[in-house]
Amino acid sequence: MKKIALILCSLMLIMCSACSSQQPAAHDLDMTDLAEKLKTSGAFEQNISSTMEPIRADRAIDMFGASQEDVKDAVYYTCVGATAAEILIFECTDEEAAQRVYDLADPHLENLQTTYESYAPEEAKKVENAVKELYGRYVIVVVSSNADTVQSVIAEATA
Amino acid sequence: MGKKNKKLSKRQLQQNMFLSFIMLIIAVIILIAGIFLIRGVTTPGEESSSEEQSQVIQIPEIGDNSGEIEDSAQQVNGNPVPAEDSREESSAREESSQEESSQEESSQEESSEESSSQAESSEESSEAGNWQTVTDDYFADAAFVGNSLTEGLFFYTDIGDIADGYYSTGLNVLNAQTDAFVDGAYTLNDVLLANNYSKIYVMMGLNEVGWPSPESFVNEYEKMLQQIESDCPNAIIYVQSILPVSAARSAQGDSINNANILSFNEQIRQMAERNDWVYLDVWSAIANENGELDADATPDGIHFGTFYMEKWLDYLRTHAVSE
Repeated sequence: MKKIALILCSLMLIMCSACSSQQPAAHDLDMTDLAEKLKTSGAFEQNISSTMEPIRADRAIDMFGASQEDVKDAVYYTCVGATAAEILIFECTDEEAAQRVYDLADPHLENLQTTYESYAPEEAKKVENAVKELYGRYVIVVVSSNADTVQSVIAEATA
Repeated sequence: MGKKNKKLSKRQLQQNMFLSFIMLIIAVIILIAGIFLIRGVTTPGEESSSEEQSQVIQIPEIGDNSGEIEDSAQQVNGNPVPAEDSREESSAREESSQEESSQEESSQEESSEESSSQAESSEESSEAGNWQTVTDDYFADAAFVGNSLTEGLFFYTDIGDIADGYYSTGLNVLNAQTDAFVDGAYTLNDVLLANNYSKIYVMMGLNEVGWPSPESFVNEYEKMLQQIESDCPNAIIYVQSILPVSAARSAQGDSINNANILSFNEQIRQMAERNDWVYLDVWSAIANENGELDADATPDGIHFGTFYMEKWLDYLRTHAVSE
């Protein structure tokens, strides 16, 4: 009886330790699909969402100031010059690289804000409510006119 | 009997203790699992976002803004650092870019293919004179200078793989002459002196159409271009016209309207003529039959995306002059 109890206890402890070390794994994201969902979510004015276009991934990486080595792929939608609104999604090589890219979000948004403060102040306000998320190997930055909608779309995609 | 009863109660006691222990372990497991479920997906951005929303951001001078934007632009477009080595590296990069670009060209739209297939020296007549149609190689030693429209040209087309771009949202003929808007450290003067460009394409004016008169704008523009000419004495200076805005934007009631733009363009054309610079009527490549930017092409009546950027670039390909 004692032996059975010991075996059961050991099994329980193993299960227990396995549970405690297991992080909620981030699943892969379809970045283009997420960008399209964000674009059409209503978080952007109609004239902006209808004219937002994808920019080449390497341009997005350089524009953001990230290292090409840290980023596997990127999706970047914007209307250059017309608005501060943008959708940026980076798939990084690993979680450490993602953290490095995520850390660039603040300086990027500050640059964006200062640019539009003098050029189009109403656009600068959007930058104040920018959404930035770190999800596993992914970094998501969205400047829109409705941060709540953006967050709910991202939450659904990362659930 | 009594002995039997005693033995039985001891076993029951052991069983009860064992069951209690198992229950305790299960409760601990459920508690731990519950904690992990409640914590859910790690989203450090949520905390930072709220911090960011309450953040007070300093507003630097316009020049600094330009530099910050240009900083990222330069990473895309080329090597503006004033150094001899960088020029050699830039040349090597440009050569490889040209090869890649030529390959990419083959898959581009039909009009681009037609342009690319023609020899660089082939000539075609135009109302403005003898223009040459050139391949993208022509832009390998070219620099583009301008505001957010030029920025769009570099973001939406592949010209950034070939030429260097010095642009910034909000750039005008005054701050372009003084501010270190390239990499946040260099002025336009610095980078032009450091690079041996053979062609300089400039498009300014849309941020200046609100100025009191076209003359005051042209005076400053002329000074800016004369400095560019002084920095790169062997370069062909291409002065591009201001582009049209949409009918709705034009009717908004402020100075940014198509009548004003045409007036400024005429002043720019005359300035180019008296200085022997090449005037490029890019306006004609973008304007529709009513002399406006198509409304569905633009979110704000001014800026536009890939389709019209390619039209602009095609115009440049078909409107070059001999080196």
